[in-house]
Amino acid sequence: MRADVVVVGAGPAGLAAAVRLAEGGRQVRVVARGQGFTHWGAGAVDVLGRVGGERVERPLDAIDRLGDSHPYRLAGTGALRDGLDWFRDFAAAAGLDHVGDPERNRGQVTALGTLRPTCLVPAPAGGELRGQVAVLGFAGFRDFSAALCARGLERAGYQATAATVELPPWSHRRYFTAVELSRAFDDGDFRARLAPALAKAAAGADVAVVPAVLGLGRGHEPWAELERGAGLPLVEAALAPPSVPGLRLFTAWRRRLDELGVAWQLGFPATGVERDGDRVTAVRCEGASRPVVIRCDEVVLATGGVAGHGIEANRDGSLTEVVAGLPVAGFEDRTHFIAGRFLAAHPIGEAGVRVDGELRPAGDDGAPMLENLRCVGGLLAAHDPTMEGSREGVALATTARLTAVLGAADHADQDVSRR
Amino acid sequence: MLPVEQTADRCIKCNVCNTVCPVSAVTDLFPGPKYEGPQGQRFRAGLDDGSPDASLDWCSGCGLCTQACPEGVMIAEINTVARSRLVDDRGGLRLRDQLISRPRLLGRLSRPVAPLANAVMANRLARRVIERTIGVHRDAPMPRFSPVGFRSWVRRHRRPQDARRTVAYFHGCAVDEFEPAVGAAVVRVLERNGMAVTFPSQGCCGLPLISNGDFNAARRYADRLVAKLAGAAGDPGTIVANSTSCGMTLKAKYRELLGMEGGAAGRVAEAVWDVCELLVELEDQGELDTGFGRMAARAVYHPPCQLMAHGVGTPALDLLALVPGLEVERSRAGCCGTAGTYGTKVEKYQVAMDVGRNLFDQVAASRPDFVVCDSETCRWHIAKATGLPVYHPVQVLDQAYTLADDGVGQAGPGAKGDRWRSHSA
Repeated sequence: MRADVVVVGAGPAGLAAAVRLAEGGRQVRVVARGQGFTHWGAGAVDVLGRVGGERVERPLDAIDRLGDSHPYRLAGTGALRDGLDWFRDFAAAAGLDHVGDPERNRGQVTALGTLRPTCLVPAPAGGELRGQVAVLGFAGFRDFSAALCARGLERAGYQATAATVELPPWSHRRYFTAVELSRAFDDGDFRARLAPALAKAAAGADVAVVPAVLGLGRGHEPWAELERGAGLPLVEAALAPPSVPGLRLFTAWRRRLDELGVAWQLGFPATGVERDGDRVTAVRCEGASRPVVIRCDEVVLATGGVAGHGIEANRDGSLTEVVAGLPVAGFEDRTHFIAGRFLAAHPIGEAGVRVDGELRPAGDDGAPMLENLRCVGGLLAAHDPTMEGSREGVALATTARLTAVLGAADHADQDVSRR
Repeated sequence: MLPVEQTADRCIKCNVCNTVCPVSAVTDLFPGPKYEGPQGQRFRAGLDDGSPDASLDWCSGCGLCTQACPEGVMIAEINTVARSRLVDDRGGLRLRDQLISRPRLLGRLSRPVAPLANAVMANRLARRVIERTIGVHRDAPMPRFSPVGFRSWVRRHRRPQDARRTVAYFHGCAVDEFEPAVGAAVVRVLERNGMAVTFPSQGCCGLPLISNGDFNAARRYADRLVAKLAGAAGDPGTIVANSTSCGMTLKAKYRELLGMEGGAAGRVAEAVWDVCELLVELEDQGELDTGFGRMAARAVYHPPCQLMAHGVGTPALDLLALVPGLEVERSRAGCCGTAGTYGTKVEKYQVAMDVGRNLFDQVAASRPDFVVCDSETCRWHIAKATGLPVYHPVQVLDQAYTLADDGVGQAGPGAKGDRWRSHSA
C-alpha cells in the first residue's frame, strides 16, 4: 500500500489533518487503533479554558500567557483562527452548525449542572440559560438525572426546576443507552409524539435543559424540530461518554473522508516506521497475520497523549512515543507518577513530543530529527489538553499549521524539501 | 499476544463498542458488545459453571466492536469463545447449525443433483417446509449449487507459459460449490498480471463452525486444511484468497480462537493474501496491468466487515478507482447484516435485514448499476435484498480487461458472456 500522506490517529487532530490535506489534493490514508476522542468528549471545541488553574474569559488573548513551547505559540494565533474558521465551515456544511465566538469563552452545561468552559458548541448546546430553567430527564434513561443537573445549576446561580418526561413507546423494552435513545429521536413520529409532553413538563419555563440525545443520524434537524414542537429553547447537556454530539461529528468526518477518497481503517495500530536516513519511507501497522507496510512521502502522527495511547509508559518509568519511538519531553521519572490530588493536574498530562516550527520532532538542539514526520494535537509537548481545556483548539490550530507547511512544500522546489 | 479472553482486562468501560454494534442498534435481544464481552467475561473466566447470558448468541460476530475499541479489547472474539462454551453446555450444535456450518458437505451432496437441489431451494413451499423443520429462514438467500465444480474448470484450464511468479489459490468452498465464475475471474486477473496460479488440494476452513460455536469440529477442519496448505506456504509462498472471511480465518482466527499459533498454521497465516490486497501491492510496484477498458457504470462498494478484519483497509476501492468510467460510491454501513450464516437462521433473518437497512437504503437512493462486495455471503444477502447484481471486485476488473480487449463499453461484468454464470448476474 502507499499514500502521499499517512495520518496515524482518528481523533479531532487526525481527522482534521486528513480532511484538510485531502482537500489540498494529497492522497491520504488514515490508520488508527480504534475510535478517537470524538466519542469521549463533550462534542464542543475547547480552545483555552484555564491557564494556571484560573478560568479564561478571552482565550485568544490568554495565549500570550502560555509558555514559549506551547503548541499555540508554535502554531500561532493566525493558525488557531484559521483552524476554528475552517472547522466551523466544515461542520456547518455537514448540517452541524456551531455557535460561539473565539474571542470569548462560554459555558457548556453538563449532566452535573456545571458549566464547563469552552468556545464553540454545537447549536443544540448553544442556547442561553436565562430566567426560569426547566431541567427535563427522560423516564428510564439512567445517564441523566434532572434533579442532579438542576441542583448543580442552582448552585451556579440559576433558577432551575427538575421534571421527568415519559417517552412515547419505542422499540426498546429493556434498559437503554444514550446512543440507543438518540436513534429513536431520528424518527419524526417519535418526536411528534414527545413534543407535547416536553412542552407540558416545561410549562412556565423560559428554557429547557435536556440530555444530549436529540438525534444521531440527522444532524441538528431533530433538535430544531423538537424545539419548534415544544415551543421553547432546548439546550442539550453534555453526558458521560460515549458522546452523542461527538458521534454526530464523527459521522460528518467519515462522510467527508469518503467523499475525498481518503482510505481509513480502525483497529490496527501503527507500530513503527521505516526510515532512510532522516526521512520516513513507510508506516508499519499491525495486520491480521503480518505487518502491513504503507509507503508514503509524509507521516502525520495524531496519536494523542497517554490516554490516546500515543505515549506509553515503560516499566522503568520512562515514556516512549509508540509509533516512531520519538523522545518524550516533559516528564522526569516515575516518582512523578504519584500526583498530589486525584483528578487534579497530573505531570504526565503535559508529557509529549517536542517539535520545531514545522511540527517535526526536535532534538535537544531544536533541530528536526526527521524531515517528513510531523506531530499534531494531543501528542505535542508542553500542554495538558484536559486541564487547560484546549484539546480541539490545539488539534485545529496545529492541523492548520500542518496544512500551511505541507501546502508550502507543494510549491517549493524539490531541493528545498530535501534540504 | 494476549489470549483473547485476557484482553477483557483492558476494557475501560467507555462504551464506544456499543455505539458501533449493528445488532444492538436494531434489536434489544442483544444488549451490546460491552455487556456481553468484557463485562460478561468476569463471570466466565476460569469457571466451569457455564455462560452467564444466552443473549450473546445474538452477536453476529461482525467484529466492528473489536475494530472500534481504542484499548485493544477483542470483544467479538471474546463473544465467539463464549458462544463455543454455550454450545458445549448445550451438548453441541443443533442440526440446522450443523448443516449450515458445512457448505462443502452440502455442495458435495447436492452437486450430482444440482438442478433438483436448486429447484427445491427456489420453491416457496419447500422453503417453508425447510424453515419449519430445520430452521433456515424461507426468504434467506441460498447460493445456487453449481453442477460443475471449480476444480473441473481448473482441470481444463491451460496455464500461461510466460509467468513472472507463481501463487497458490485458496478458492474455498464458495467458489468450488457455488460460484466458479468468481474463481475463473480471479485466475484470469492473476494470470493477466504475470502470475502462474497453482491449485493446492484444499477443504473448508471451518469458519462457519467457529462462528456457530463448534470449536472441536472446527479444529479438525483447521488441522486438515493447514496440512494441505503448508506446502504452498513454503512454495510458492503466497496463497491468494478471494473469500474475505475464509482468508481472515486463515490469517487470524486459527491463532486467536483455536489457539493454533506458530508452526505450519503460522506459516500458512503469513502466506495468505486477499486477492485485492495482492493486486494493490502489484500496483504499488508498478506491475499491475492498468489497461482497463472503459466501463460506463455506477456502483456502490460495500467493504465486508470481515475484510476490515484483515487490517489492509479497502484495497478494492483503490483498484476500482483505476477503471475508467466507473463511478464508485463507498457504502456507509459497517455491516450488511448477514455475517456468514447468521442471517439465514429463521430467528435471526429479520435482524440481518434490519442491520442491512442502512446499506439497502443507500443503494436504493444511489440507484447504481450494480453493487460490489468481496464476501460471498454478503453478496448473496445484498443481491436478494436489493434485487441488483452484486459482484466480487475482481469480477469487475476481469470485465474491465475484457472491455479493453474488445474495445466495447458495456455496463457490468455480467454483460459479457461468461460461461460460468455468477449467482447474482
